[in-house]
Amino acid sequence: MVETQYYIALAAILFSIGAVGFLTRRSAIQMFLCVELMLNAANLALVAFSRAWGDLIAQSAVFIILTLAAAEVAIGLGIIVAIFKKRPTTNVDVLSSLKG
Amino acid sequence: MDLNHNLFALMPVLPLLGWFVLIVWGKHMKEPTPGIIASSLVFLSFVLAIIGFVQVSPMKEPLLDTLRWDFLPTWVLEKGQLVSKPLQFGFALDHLSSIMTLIITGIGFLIHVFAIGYMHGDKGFSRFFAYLNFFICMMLVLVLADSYPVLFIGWEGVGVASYLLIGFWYTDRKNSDAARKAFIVNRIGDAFLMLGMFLLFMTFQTLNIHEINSSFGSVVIPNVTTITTGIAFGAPPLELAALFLLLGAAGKSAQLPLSTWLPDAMAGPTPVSALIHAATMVTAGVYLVARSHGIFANAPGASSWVMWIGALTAVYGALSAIAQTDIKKILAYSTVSQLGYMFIAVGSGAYWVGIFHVATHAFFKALLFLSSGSVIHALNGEQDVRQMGGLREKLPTTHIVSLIGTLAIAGIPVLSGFFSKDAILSSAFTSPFGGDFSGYAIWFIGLIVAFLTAGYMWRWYSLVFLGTYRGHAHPHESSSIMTVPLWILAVLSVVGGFIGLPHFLGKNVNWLEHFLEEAAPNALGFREIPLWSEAVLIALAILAAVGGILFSRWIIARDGMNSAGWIATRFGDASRKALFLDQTYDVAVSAPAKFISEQLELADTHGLDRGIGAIANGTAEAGASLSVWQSGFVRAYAIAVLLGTAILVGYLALRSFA
Repeated sequence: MVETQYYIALAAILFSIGAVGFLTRRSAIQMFLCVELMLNAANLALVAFSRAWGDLIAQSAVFIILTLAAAEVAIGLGIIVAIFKKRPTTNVDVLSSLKG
Repeated sequence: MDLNHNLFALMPVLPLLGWFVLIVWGKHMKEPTPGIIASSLVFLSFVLAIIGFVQVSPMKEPLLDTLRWDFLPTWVLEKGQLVSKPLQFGFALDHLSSIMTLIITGIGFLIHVFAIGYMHGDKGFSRFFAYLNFFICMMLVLVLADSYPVLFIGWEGVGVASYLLIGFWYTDRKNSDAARKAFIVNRIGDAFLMLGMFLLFMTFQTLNIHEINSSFGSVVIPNVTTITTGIAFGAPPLELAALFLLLGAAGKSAQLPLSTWLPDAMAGPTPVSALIHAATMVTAGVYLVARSHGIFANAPGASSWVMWIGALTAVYGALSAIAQTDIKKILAYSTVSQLGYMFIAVGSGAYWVGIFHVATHAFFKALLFLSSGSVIHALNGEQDVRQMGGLREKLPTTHIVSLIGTLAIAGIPVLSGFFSKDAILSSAFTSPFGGDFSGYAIWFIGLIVAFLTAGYMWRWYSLVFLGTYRGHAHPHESSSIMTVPLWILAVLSVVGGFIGLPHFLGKNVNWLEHFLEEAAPNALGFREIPLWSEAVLIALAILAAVGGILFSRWIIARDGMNSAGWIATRFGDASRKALFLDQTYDVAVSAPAKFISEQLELADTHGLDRGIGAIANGTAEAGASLSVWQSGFVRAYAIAVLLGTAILVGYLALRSFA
């Protein structure tokens, strides 16, 4: 049986890749993918802990996160498509008209 | 339902119906129709008034209608317990209100008919008659009321009607200003009337007029002083209540110091001036005092105040009327003066005399106003007497009736004004409230006013009808729909005085005094004077009237028709400006009020607004400085979120180790 810390290490690596990608990429689509990466890193960590403690609560939380992520993808992609219809770009640095 | 008892209560309902019909459908009617509807409904009311008069004549008690309902919930203290004793809404017809209903509906009907001709071609024709009907309804509510609150409804209702009709041609700023002035000045009087009602309720535990009046007489009022010991001013509550009623009456009847609205009220159409501001509404104050005869007869102090206010107003009005140049303003100040006469009468305790002069004044003043309406109509709206003259040949009918009216108001013997004015002077002379000196002084003032009245009325008549025409219009006599009411009023002005013949002609010749001896009995304690001295008083009054006319003739002969020299004198100027009463109000009331409101405006714009502005600006600036963080760059937010989370997690981790 694989030790729990390896799972956690993998989750940490995945999360870091996602976070760095989110901070460095400018395309909205790529940033969106990074967000998904971070979400799934969290899911992986939850499942790992769940197995370690023999407790199913964390696993059910993962299911909720999965459904929420699906909904979030639908809305997020919809927003990006809507922005792209109005503006010629999906570069988030250009899309800064909501600044105070 | 007992028709006998309720027939008179229909009197105000009929004009109300007319008001409703004309307000809703009047716009779609062709010209004479609204006038005919309104006039015939008032005529029906007049028929009901006659029926009521016949019914009530042999009775001792007032006729009460049987359709009553609880109207004001009131509670009274009985043996330390609050007992509900709701006030009923009801009408009562007694001899006093019967006389008033005859005047209101009779004169009202004639003026309605006159107005059909006078208002011909006005685009507010149906609106005018709707308002007139509303006025008649409210005036009837006022005189038929059997309790003060119901009277107050009519009191306010006629105020509204007066406001609407003064400002009838509201597109002219001057007219609507005059309407507002009348309404506001009346409001001051109304406030006092309400105070009077509160005080009466505290004292008598009821506001039913007949109950209050009948509680005097045999019994001294029970512990009035102990009931209302909380009342300040040191005056007995009855005197104070009577004074409050007097101030209320002074507002409605244009007595000093609330007289300034009436001359301005002439901005309304002339039939309105005749009906509301001469014959009926302005006499409501006189009616109120006569109606409350029990209170005033037992309040000698307040009664002598009534007499003094009446006397001062009479002389004030007469002095102001002398040098006016507007045909209606002369009559308006004359009305103020004559109302002062009526106040002298009711203040002296001879309530029938006040009502007598209300009646005769209604006849000749309505006649004079309608005559000037006829003149104004003939001259296409000209109102300046300096632009008139010589209308004797051009308007023969108007001339004759105006001459009758002038002689009647001047007090030339056997015309109506002679008898009522004489009754007023002798009641002031013998009044129980006159004291050692006041009665005679007021009698003397009245005599001077009689002289002045004859003088200014002769000036009015001469400037309008005698000499040669000085204007530029082409005068034409009015149509018969206008002249017939004039003739009827002229006949009434001639014979109206015979309802109240003086005592020296015999003991039982005075029909009116006898008629009103139940509903408005004289106060007790009139001085008996020998018949020969009564005859001397009458002779002096005749002398004053004839002297006034001769003096006026002499002045006009000396100064010419325009009497320019006379008006240019300081006295003439003071008279033309109504003894500077308006200016006094401007300085004493308007200017301070304006100053205060200007200061308040400054405080508002510079203090309050600035403070609120500073708060708003501060909030906006704080927001602006914080909004720097809202850069609009998503990745900046992301860094912030990441750093924040890292710090939070780091802190929690460190704390769990510690």
